[in-house]
Amino acid sequence: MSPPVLDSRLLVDDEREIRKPSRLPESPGNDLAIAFDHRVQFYEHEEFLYRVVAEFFGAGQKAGEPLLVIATEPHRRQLLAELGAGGFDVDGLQRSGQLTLLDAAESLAGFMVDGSPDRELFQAQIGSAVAKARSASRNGHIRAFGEMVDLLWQSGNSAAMIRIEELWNELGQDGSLSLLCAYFVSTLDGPGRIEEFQKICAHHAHVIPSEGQSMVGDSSARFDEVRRLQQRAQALEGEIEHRKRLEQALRGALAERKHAEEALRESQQELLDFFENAVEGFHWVGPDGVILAANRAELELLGYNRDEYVGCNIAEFHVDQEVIADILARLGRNETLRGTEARLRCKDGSIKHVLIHSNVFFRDGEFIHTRCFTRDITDRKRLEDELRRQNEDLSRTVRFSEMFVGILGHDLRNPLSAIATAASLLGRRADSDKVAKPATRILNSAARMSRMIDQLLDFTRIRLGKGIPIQQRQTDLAEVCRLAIDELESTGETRKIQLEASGDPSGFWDADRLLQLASNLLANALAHGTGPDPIAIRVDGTDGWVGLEIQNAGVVPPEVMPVLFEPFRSGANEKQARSGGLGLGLFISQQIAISHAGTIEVFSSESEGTRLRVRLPRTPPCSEPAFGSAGDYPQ
Amino acid sequence: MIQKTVLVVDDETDIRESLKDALGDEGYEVVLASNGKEALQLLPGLSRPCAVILDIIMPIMSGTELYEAMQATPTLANIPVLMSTSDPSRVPSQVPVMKKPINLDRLLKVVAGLF
Repeated sequence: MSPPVLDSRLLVDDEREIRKPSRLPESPGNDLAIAFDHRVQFYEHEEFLYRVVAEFFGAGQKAGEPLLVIATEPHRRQLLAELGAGGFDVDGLQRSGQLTLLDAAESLAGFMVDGSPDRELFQAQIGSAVAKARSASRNGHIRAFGEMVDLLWQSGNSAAMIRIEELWNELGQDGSLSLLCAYFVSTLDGPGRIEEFQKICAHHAHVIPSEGQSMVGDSSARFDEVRRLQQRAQALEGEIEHRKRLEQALRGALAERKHAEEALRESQQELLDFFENAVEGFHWVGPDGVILAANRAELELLGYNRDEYVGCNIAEFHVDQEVIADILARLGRNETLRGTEARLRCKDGSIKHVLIHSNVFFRDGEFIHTRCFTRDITDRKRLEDELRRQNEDLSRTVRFSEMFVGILGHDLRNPLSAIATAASLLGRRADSDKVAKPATRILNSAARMSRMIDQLLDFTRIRLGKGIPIQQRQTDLAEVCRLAIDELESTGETRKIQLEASGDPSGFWDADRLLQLASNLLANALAHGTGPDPIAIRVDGTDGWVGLEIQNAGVVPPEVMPVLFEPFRSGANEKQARSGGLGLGLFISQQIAISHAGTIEVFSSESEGTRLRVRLPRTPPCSEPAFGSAGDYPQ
Repeated sequence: MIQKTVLVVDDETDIRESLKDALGDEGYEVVLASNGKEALQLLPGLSRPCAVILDIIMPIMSGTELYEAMQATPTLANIPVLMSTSDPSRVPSQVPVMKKPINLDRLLKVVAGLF
């Protein structure tokens, strides 16, 4: 790229160059009137720089102003060549003392202390050079060109660079001085130097863009270039702010990340703690069955040290090899095991029953490790075994009870039947009360014993969960009640029992069981009725139901009402003893009603006495005729 | 008047004897057997009309087995049977039953109805 054509107005005459606020008044178009003019020239090609400096010095030389050059040796040589080419008598100027040449690096070395410019040394060295040059000036004004700051700029010591610019500004206060600083502009391209560029601009009264930005033909275009440079400067300032905010945000993000990492560490620690100190045993097993990790609970459960357990194959600890083989096979198929029972061998040789919950961690389809929870159920198994033994004992007891029931039912009834038959025969053959009465007493006692045997058998059957078996056939409930009354009267009962029947009293029931129910309720009414009051029995058939009510004048105490139908109820007392029962009559009556899908209720008050009401469906559900004909019971 | 015969089959001697007395008092000719096998041997020789009062649970041959044997024998199938048992649930559905302990008055009434 060839150097652009210089337009010297950019440097000294063009008022559209970038002007920075200056502490000193300036006079547009005539820099000679300026007491201190500090400007900066950015350049991209040295040829351009030489011409800029030559132009800068040319104006001063004509005015007889002393010229001070503080530059590198190559630049000094080229600059002198450029001045000579421009018609300067370089040697004559040097001899007359109008042109002073200083080496930039040597000058820096003269006042730099520990990488920073020393103010007093600067004043002593540079200030003296300026004063000496000024002494030869006719109008007291001098022109100076310096590259010390560019050397620092290019070496990266921007702090010293800015400080020297400040010292130059201080020096400018002492007398009339036009100072041109030059910076090689390509070094500004680095993003880290934007802030430094801004500071350089801030320390100069005039900022002159590089030739790439300013070498345009007319003043309007130059104005546009300058404006673009201003915009760029503003954009850079904005960029700086943006980067500051970014930096701040980055610092915040870093702090946040640090906090998150800390939280993650804590979380990992908690997870490790959970794994290690969980109450439940926990272990990992690899695809080859080798234990990869185990927590304390698991080790304590089996009594092994970590080294004795981790690293071994899990199968070594299983009592039942087919069980662990099945577990590993199922896990390998990605099945989840819940509550799989197994037996593990402890270090002391004992066996622990455990419940295993497990599944597998797969990554990209590869079996990485299992996640096995091991719960000790040894105590539970022991209890279960004990329970099983108890159940077997109970079953034996039940079987014994059933056998007992059978024996009671058959073997006791047979001799009882013999007693009853013989007593009955005796009564029939008796010629006098002397024989008939004792025979009747034997008969009554036999009947009472028979009822008690029946009740005990029924109660046992109910307690065994077998319920009361019913054999249904067509039955007339009113006739059943008459039979029950006859039986009572045959035992010598003298109290009046009134039977009232209405509607259709027939139904499909177990006549034998209903006779038992009616006899129980009648016996209860007689036992708890008061004095000679008659007992009323009412049978009433309506639609699909038949009702049976038995009423007496007695009153059931309120505290007995809730337990009236319970077996061996607490209300059993002397009165009950009179009835010859076991306290099972109402309980069994209720069970008989339930067996027929019916109900039994009790109502009792001082004014109306006690009324027991049974309601039976005429045809209980799911009932089929059990008998084609009846035996000794009414049809 | 034709003599009616009642065969009482029960392994309980006291029951057999008491029933023999009670039925005898009512004018029946009473024959006794202590199990089903014994009864089965007696039945062909009994004078007609006759009826059987039959216990169920007995040694050697139960009442149920005897009943089935009678039903399988044409000359015995029509003889009326009254079962007397402590467990009526075992009685075939078409057979009249009387639960032990027996109510003698009722039994006599039912026996009278068998002829």
